[in-house]
Amino acid sequence: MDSIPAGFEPGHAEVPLPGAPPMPFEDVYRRSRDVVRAIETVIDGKREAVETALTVLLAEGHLLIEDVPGVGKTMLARSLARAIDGSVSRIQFTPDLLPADITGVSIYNQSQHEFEFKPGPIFANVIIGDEINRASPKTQSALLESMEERQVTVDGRTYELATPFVVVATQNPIEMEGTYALPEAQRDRFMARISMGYPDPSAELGMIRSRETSSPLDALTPVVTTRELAAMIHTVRNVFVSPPVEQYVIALIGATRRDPDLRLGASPRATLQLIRAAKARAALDGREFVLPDDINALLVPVLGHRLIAAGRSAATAGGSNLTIAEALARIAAQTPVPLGSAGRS
Amino acid sequence: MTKRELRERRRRAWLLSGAVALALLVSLGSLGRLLQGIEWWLQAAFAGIAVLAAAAGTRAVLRWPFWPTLAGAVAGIVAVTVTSAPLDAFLGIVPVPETFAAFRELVARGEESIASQATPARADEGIRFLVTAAAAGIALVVDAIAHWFRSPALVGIPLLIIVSVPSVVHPTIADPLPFVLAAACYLLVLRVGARVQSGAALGLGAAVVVAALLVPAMLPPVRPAQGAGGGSGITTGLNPILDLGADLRRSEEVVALTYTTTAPGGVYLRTTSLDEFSGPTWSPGDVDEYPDNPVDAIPPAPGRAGDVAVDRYETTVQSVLLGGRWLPVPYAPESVSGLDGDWYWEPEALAVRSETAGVSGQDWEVVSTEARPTQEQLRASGTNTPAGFEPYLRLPDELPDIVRETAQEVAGAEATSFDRAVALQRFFRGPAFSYSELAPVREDYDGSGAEVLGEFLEERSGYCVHFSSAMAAMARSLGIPARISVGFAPGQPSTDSETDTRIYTVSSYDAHAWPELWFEGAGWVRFEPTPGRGAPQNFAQALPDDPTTPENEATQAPTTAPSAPAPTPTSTPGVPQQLGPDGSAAQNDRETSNAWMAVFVLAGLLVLAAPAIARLARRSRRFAALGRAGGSALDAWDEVRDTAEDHGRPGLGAPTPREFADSLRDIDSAALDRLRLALELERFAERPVDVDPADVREVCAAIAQRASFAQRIRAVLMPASVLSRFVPRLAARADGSAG
Repeated sequence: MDSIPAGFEPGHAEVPLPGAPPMPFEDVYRRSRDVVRAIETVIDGKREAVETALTVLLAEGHLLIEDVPGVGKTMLARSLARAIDGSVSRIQFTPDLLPADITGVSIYNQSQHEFEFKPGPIFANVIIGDEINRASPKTQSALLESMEERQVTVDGRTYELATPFVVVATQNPIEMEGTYALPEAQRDRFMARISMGYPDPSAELGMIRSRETSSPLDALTPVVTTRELAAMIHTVRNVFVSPPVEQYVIALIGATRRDPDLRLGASPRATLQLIRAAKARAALDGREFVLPDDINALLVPVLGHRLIAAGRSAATAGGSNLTIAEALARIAAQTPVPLGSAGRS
Repeated sequence: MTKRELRERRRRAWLLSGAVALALLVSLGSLGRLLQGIEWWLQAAFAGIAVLAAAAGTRAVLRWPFWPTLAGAVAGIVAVTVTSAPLDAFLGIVPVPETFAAFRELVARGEESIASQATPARADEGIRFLVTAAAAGIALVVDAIAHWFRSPALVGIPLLIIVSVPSVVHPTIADPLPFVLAAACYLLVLRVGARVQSGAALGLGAAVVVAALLVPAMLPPVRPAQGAGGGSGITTGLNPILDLGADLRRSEEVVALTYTTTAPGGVYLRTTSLDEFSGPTWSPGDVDEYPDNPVDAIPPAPGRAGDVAVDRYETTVQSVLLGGRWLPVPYAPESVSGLDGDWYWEPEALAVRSETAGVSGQDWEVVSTEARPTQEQLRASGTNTPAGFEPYLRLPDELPDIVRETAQEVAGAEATSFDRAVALQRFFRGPAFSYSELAPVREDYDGSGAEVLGEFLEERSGYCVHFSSAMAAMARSLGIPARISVGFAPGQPSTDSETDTRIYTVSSYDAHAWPELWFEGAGWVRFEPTPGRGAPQNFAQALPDDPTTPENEATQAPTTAPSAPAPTPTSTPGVPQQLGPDGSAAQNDRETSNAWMAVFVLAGLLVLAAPAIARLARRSRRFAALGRAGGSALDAWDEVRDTAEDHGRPGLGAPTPREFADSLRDIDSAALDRLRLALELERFAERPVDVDPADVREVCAAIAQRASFAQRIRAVLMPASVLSRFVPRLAARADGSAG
């Protein structure tokens, strides 16, 4: 199988994966099932959200979870972090949070007569950014910059962030009080956005019973080590993307740019992230190659938050999920999958 | 769907219905070659438009495609009721059981009328009913095809059938105009019916069907496959005189029946007599049914005086390949036995008929009587025209003068009716006339009609239909009651060595017509004007008076003058000739015409089967590719997809193979999963996998199995995967599934 060089994205340096040879596809499939099962002991009946979150993790992207308060956004983020045996930190974003509260500060060490860097919460494998849209734009941009560059520069010195590194941010719908809407440019940095939605009645009933005594999160033990996770990510990078699928993605992305219902189409970064997410989804399925179905399944999570529906004000842009989802569904239905012609060999 | 789109779709539906209506009316117009007047067209047009309008109106209101068809069917029945049997319906509109009884009656009358008339036929009640009902039915079919099945291209097939009727019924009609007009209307239907203009495909589809509409017009006129393969029998029952020429011109001899008889030399087997000479043709005047006339006791033949000698014969007949409703029996039958079904005799002609049973497969015994009048007895009536026989003297107005003039010239000088008849017979059997089955067709005067007679008397070449018709008409003009009898000449005798009985074999070439003239005291007397065919070669010369008849002595001494021979209708018939004098030429012509017929039939079938053939070709190409090394999973997948489309499966709009496979979930086949995986590996992992053609067959069979019977038929004859290239229906369907 051809190895597609990962990290070809400009501004995204090849991240070294310490001591992690690629994991066989069957193992990727098995381990990811383990993770999903572990998370589902905490979040019941949200298989799709959980799988998308894991996809983003394996695709080395960042995840934005958007929904009303109390549906388990933070719980999903925390259980995902918990299932991986890595360092976890949690940042509660508030309007008075400063950039240094995220990245860390240099403090003068009097005994050693030098400035010593005190790393902030960003130096962890999994960062949970709670209610990211409540922080000031300045703080938001500090987080988003480190997400993109995977490094932090404090006082002229650059510090590499941990590997693997994933930010799981949650945000309330922007119409709510006391929030600073993330601008498009910043939303674009998240690989995918998912909504939790309310649980169905049976899941909610099960939740009442299981939460009565203790939080199931406490019982959740890590199922994957950081090293294993790095190996899985390595495998994902090796997933094969065939020319027909590439053409299909190009056609879909092009259609979003031409669609009359969309004011802003998908960016080239979206194209790359869509392919990358699709590779992760294929690997999660134990497949060594990407199918058009992977692309279709990820259209709304990966593209939904980047597009702006036509005829909407900028303030509500990105929030009209329904229209955008409809437009994407229509585009997917109308774009034929290029299968080439028979007898090519 | 937006309101605008809905409005647009409705507008198109109305337009399409309008175009279809126009095409139907124009196609019906082509029947004008066969039928007189215009009433039948107005009536049929009314019914057709009623069906289409009701369907279109319902379509504008109700969405389920079944309702318009139902409404159209109701409207069709009402329209047919109003036009054809309003007196038998409730309020003149609502059909009740009596209405349908009236319909049945009309069907019978229509069939009878078609059977007895030549073209152009008088469009009487029965024919009008048949045309109207057919128009309503075809309107219903084309409406369903155009709207329900969304295949306007297929509307051409029913139209083609209508337009082809004239050239099929009447071989001499080869008028391209109706075909051109119908083709133009058909193009209009295509233009309006196509939603998306995929130029080339539409053009190609149109060209194919227009060619199908036009090709028959360019071919030389032929008779359709009436016994062409030799497999079918002959039917003299339905259309005696009109079929006669065709039977004689058959390319191969077909044995109609065999018989044994006590009559020396065999018997003429008559099916019926034609006494009404309307102008276009001779026809049986009496078409009523007589269920109370059982054939085991038939009254004696009319007009025979007590002093005329009568012979009684027994004849046993076995039908071989003869069909129809008229029973061939020798005249005059006294009793018929051994028949299955209900048979009756007609009081006027003493013909034996059945409405329910057929001649086919039957054998029967007949006791018949034959009068043997002497020549003096025949002369006794002089030139008197008996009272009450006016119908047998009636001649149509359009009878050319040459008929009367020739009759006067030939026989006007003779003293008695009998002598005149003999003179006429001698005239026809003389050297001036020749026998030919083909000359009338070539010169375009085939048939028995009044105008044809003029041409026949000028050309002096024809076959029994012409000779008998001419002699009967001339006899009438001389005041002798005359009619034409239709049936078979005695046939070819052979001796069965075991039982030492003479068996007569009667074939299609023995089909015959002869005039019968009425003489007081003798009844109907058979004459034979056709040269070289049938009984007395020299009718007027052979004159052995029956010495055993005492009445002969009682009346007058038998004439001894050989120059004035008396007719003996019962004299020994000669061996019938199998072919006319120009028989070998006829054979050649037949073969040519058969070749053309084969070409025509083949071309028609080819056009109809074109979609099926294209589909089969594509399938076999794919399977062949699968069999070779380097066969593609895509071939297998395309075959599955096309099969699904042929059987009207939903889910063809699914963009990815996996989604399409999901739409076939009810098949639940491991083979389907293997095919899907093979395709995915080949297309998306660049890892070729061998595909087992058996998997493709299994999945395709499973798809067919889950389809309805109608869908399966459609999948074979009108595969949607082929037709959708011409009719942009797939696009519409994909839109539907996406929205």
